[in-house]
Amino acid sequence: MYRLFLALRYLRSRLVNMISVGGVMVGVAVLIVVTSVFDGFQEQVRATVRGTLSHLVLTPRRPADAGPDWKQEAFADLERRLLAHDPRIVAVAPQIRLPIAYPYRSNRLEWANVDGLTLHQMEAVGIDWAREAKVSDLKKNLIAGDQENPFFDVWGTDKEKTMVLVGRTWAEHMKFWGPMDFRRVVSGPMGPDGQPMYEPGPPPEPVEVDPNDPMAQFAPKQDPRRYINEIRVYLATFSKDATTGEMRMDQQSTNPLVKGIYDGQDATSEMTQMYFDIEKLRKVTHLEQEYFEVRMRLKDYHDAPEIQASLAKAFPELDVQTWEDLKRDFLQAVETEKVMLVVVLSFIVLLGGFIILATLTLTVVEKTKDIGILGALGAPRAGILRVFLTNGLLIGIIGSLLGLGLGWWFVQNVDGVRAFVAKTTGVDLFPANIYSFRFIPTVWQWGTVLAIMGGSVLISFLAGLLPALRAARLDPVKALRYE
Amino acid sequence: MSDATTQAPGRVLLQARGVTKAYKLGSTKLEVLRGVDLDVCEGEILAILGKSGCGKSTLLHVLGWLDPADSGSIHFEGRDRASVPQRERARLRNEVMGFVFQFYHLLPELTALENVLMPSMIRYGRLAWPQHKKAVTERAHVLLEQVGLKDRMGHRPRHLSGGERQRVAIARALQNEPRFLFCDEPTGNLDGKTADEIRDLLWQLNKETGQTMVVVTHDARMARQADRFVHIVDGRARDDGELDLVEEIQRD
Repeated sequence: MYRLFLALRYLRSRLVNMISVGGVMVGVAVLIVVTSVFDGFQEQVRATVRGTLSHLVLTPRRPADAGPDWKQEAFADLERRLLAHDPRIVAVAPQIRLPIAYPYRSNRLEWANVDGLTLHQMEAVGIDWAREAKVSDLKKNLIAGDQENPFFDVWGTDKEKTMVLVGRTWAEHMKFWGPMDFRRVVSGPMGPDGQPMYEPGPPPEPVEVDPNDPMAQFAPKQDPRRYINEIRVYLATFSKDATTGEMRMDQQSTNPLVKGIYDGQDATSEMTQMYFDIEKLRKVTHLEQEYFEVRMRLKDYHDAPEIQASLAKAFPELDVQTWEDLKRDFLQAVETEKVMLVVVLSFIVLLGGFIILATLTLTVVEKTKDIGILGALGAPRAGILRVFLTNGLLIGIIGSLLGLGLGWWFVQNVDGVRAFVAKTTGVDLFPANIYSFRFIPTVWQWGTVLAIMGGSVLISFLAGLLPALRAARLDPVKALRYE
Repeated sequence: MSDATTQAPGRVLLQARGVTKAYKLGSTKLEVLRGVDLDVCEGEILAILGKSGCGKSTLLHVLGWLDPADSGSIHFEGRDRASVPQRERARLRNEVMGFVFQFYHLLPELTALENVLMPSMIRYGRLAWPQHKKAVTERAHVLLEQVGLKDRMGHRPRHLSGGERQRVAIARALQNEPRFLFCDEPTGNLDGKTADEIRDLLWQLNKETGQTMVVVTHDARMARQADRFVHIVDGRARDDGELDLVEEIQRD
């Protein structure tokens, strides 16, 4: 009975013990907040990347004994064959990917910067909207444009024109955001033919264009009738001369209409990917091939490894990869970052342990006489050991519980804290342009939280062990002899 | 002259034979006890007299099993210290022996009542405590009342006078109803009047409850009132001295 009683009394009577409790509390709270934010970040990143990439990506591989028509053979009836392979495959969608360049104005000195003009390297992704909408989150992510079919030729005048969907970050970066008004188009009423009917809105503010500006010819053109902007991009493709059989690289340009903006929650892909209508992209680039790769969505992503293996066996001409395979380096970097941070921050708790070690050692020295008295009153050595072990343990438990409370509060109010810090110090803890999320994602995992608390209590216990052993080894008579 | 072996009527509770004890101070060895033979009988008050530094406190610690002797044996109720394990010795100290020290040795963080309760807390574990709590708390109250500290129960030791602290220490020593009370200069730090009060209290308790008491003192007046006294000379216990002579020795 006396053990807990005395441990509590010693804890209460010494201010340094409160410092130890504070140390453990801060350590636990920081670890909880960091793991929670990092887990949230990781989860959000995975959701985002999985959303833009779909579950499985299949690319044809050139076989060693490739005949002249190996591509046609590989792709023949591929989609039907894939869908028939496994009932857990929900949808497949073809894709074409091409390097493109977008000319824009930049004041930065870059390799292709001439008179303030430079090229932004991008990727044209040719998609079939109806099928793409089934394999990725692109439809859900379309924040401007018609979600049913953004490539729909509303006025019937753009049959020959290419059309693109651009990323939100790109639009913001290229100052493309202002003069467009897609909101009208997103929720337009449906016409009698089942196609959306669009009402033209009021004409947008005309943009002053300086004719002497070298950018002028590349600047997005506004059409007050349609609220849609025409841009220009350059494509490079190879073609074979029919007569000489010589390979040629052609530089081409196309002036696509921007028909929508998507918010992929991922600044990098938004900056570098433009979605084209696959048929029109093929026509512009004279690509014979129908598509280059196939995206696949499964009923349940948990089946991915199994289906991946069976597909690889059934279609040896295809490389089958999950989205995680494709983003392995990135996902690993995030994971490593998290582990490193947790390891580094664990030192705070370790530091708390050392504070406990120091204060308890001090307490034992100070309580030498008390230990002698307890010995004279009949407390066995094991009991004295436990008085001080309990003291260390109490510091750990109380500190962990307070840390849990503090960490929980912080995680609940993380955006409020961020706003407060930004307001008072001007520092944005979580800049949106880096992390591409407009909020700080958090995940509360009890397993992790309890592991952190348990680890801290264990460290406190171990820190108390040394002083407690020292107390138990004290000779009660020696402790009593001198006043 | 051979060492005197004290013989007294009544059952012998504590028997010391050939007890030696030495301390090492640097390279020199300080022989404090050089073969003490001593018997303590049930119910008696035995005073151990001696000059300061003669080793009487050491003898008390050795008799009370707090400290092992270098050689010789201490039999308490027929059991030799050397054959009793540490935990059992602790239990005996808790339940059978009580200690009163010159410097009171109260726990400064605890109130007077909590200090008195401490031996009971040590005696009963967490599981047994709830069923004993009421009885032992009542006993602590009675004891504190008996030593005249009815109004001081909630005070910390630093708010008590020396005499009051020693009363708390006596109450604490009696809390577990020990059969044996060891007092190490119980009045050594108190002024004359308070010392007399404390001594009267101890004597009264002995009369009321029949505890066996070993009182270490350098105060011949106190020794005179004991049932029996031995004095420590040259590290040995002698009971053939005259008190007047002892007083004379002490004056030197």
